[in-house]
Amino acid sequence: MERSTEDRKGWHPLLTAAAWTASGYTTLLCGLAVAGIYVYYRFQGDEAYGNWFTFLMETPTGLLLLLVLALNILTGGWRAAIRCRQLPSFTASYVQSLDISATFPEPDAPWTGALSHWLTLKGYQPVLAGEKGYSIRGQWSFLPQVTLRFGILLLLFGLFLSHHARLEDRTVLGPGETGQLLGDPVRLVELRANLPETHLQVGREKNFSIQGITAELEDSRGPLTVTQGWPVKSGSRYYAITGVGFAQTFLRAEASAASQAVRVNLDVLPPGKEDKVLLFGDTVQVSLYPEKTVSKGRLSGELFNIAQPSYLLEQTETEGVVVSISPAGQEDSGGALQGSQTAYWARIRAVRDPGLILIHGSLSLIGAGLLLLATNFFWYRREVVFIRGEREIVVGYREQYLKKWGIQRFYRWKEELSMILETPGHVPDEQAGGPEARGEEK
Amino acid sequence: MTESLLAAFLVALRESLELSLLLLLIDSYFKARSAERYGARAAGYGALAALVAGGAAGYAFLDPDGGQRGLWAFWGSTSSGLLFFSSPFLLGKRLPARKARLGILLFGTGFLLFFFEAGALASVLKGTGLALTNNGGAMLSGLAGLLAGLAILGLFSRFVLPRLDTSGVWSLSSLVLSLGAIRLASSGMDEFYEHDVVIGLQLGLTRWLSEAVHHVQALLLIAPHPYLEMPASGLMSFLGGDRIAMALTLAVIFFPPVWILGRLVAAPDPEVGHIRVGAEKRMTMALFRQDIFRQGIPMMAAFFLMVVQVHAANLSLNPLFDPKPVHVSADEDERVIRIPLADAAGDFSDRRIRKYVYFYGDRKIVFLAIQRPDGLVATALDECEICRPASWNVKAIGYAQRGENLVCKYCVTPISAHSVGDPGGCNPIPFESDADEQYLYIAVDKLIETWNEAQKIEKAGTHF
Repeated sequence: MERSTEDRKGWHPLLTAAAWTASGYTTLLCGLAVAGIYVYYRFQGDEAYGNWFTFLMETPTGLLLLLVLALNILTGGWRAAIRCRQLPSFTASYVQSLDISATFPEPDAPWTGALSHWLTLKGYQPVLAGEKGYSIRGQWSFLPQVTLRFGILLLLFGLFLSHHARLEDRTVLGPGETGQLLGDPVRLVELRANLPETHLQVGREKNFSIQGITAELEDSRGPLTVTQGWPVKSGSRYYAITGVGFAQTFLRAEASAASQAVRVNLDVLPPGKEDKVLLFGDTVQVSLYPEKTVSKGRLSGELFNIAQPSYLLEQTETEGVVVSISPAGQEDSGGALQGSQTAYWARIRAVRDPGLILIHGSLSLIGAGLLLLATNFFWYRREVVFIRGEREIVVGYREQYLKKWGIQRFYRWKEELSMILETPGHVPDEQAGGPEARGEEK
Repeated sequence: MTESLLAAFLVALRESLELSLLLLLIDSYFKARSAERYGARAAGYGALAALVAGGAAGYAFLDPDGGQRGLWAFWGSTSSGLLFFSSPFLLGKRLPARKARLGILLFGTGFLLFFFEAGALASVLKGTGLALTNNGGAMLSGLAGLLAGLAILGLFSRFVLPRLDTSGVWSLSSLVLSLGAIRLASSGMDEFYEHDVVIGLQLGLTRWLSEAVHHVQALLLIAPHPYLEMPASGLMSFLGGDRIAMALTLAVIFFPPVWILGRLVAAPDPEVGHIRVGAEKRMTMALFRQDIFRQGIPMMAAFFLMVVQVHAANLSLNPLFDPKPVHVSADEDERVIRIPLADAAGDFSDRRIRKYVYFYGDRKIVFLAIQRPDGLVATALDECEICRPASWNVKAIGYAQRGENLVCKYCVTPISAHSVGDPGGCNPIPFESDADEQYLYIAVDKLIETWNEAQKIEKAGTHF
């Protein structure tokens, strides 16, 4: 922070203000604090996240904060990369500005070769320029941080795009049916609903769950298979299954004509859920009817037959009166209705969202960045710089992180350096070949 | 009336003592830094100005029962949080040398420290005065309490503080951290603030996180579904759960002291390679470590305060629920105890523990009932087969409920609600019962038999 302030000396005040806005944790925290306080003041109550997110995405203040945040992330990453890649300057002030430096009397004999050899033994590849030189390790160690920052930046952009440009549509289709999704026809070719044969409902908490629903769809780009898991991409659209249910045909018992058969899509899953449908002109409330009550040891619950479901039909106009119980393929108790074979329907959701691919990519980058960030515990920039002064040699050392250990390592090096520079022809191998030379961390 | 006036005096005294503690820390900072000695007076003026301004604002504008209390409390908590969380940014910083800047800074700090508290106190005193129709009396009591607290400060500052060696203890960041920590730990005024910052933070984070995870799921088109199993639902539910919220709360709360302490410990050891005398080397290192230790005292104290605060918040958010046993009796022929599943106290589906007591002659049988997550109503004695507290500690017999699960009041072993009704281990000793839509039925002979068996274990001395 201090260095960056120094860097800005002589800048135009406006430029300095802009640089300050775009970088520095203080700005970021101030921004978030203002956002938090504003949201608290504006939306005290429920939906804390929803209101906060809407505030960030839709209000000018929120968008400004997002912009500041994006600039902050961008410039922070840029500065991290520049700092890591930066080559040292061969000035006494630069060397002394490093974490630690030491001055040694210049020997009469040539010394650069001995120093280079010693650095090589320590695992550094020296770059010489006459009687000065440097060696830097971990010049690419900014990559984890930049990956993470880029991921966050992409996520912000993806969120913004997704919030403002997402379009979605839903339709309920039975096998062989065609519906319109986002203006294009989509046909459900086949539905494989791998429903359980039976379901035992114990207690009030719903424990019904389905796995393995697969829909074979056909849209303008060709066939595709959609499962209940991750959405499937076709062109610019994503398809997902958001529900399944029974497509039940009911027949009027006294009428044999085909026109008296009615097929209705029943949304009665999980067992216990009620749906209202129009059946032969009447609004009827339908729910799954348990086949029996089962006791298993100390537990007891209602057993629902899912493969051959039975329904409880209640006429809503005559409140609370059970009109009939209609097991599939059997007549109801009153003889007025008859259930026929059970089929299934699926609720298909189509989404067009240009931001989603960015969000997927950004989450991958953030994950990778976080994992890579762990490598920064041992992979970070370390630089050794030496120059020749009037009648002395100045050696400086800096580590990007874990500076304490770096400084203490340099304390140990100082004794070795003194010996090397006193007698440049002799390199004390037993001391120089320390743990660092073997690539070990202290 | 006397009691209310005394209460007003005590409330003001308590707040005044808290204020005194803050002022003492500031005073000790300036005393330890003779170069910045001129700041002590400015800090005092800043605090006084903030107190007067806050008190006047609170008295004039804050209706003791009005709706602005929440907003006032929010800003009070925010000011404490600002102090606490700004401390890492003050690492290595010193007070400005120019008096004008210093004055503004100290007034700002005084404002954050005292303004809202003074306002809240004035409002509470005003409320007492209105209730007693003796406004002057309440204000005088409050003023007396304030002065008493400040007198204690004066005495401490005059006689005790000079004897304490605080050199090397304070830095600007550790002072601000300590002030913020005390403010957060004292949690505002009980009479005024609904709940403290840590509880608010944790509740807010829990809600925010849960909503955020739902939003991410909806964004990725894998929103939770009532019956379709969605990918990564377990991971998302974990990420949006209260454990992560608690972990985040801890990370946020402990960040300032841990960060500052970490930076302190990361200071490199002094170079002693050039020192030829061993004793001198050791002395240099010892002085360095002593210096680090002294500088670390405020951070450790703040850390400890926050641990207490988080623990208190955790207890407050997950209190032990230990209902008093309700007396039940059997039907006329003493065969069955019939307990309604729903009554004025709610119904069993709330999954809270119920305790009952049945008197069998002169003996008292305490048992519990709870609806398990699988829907079954389980019944058991309010004791276990394993351990039993000593006779002087009989109140520790039995179980209480924390969250969904039971906890043994004696050995604090958590018992999953799923396993209540199953025998063995630390579980409460179960006995059979039946339930229909309306009632829980307990056979008296079964209850007595189970209780007798439990007493045999006790007599045989197989309890720990």
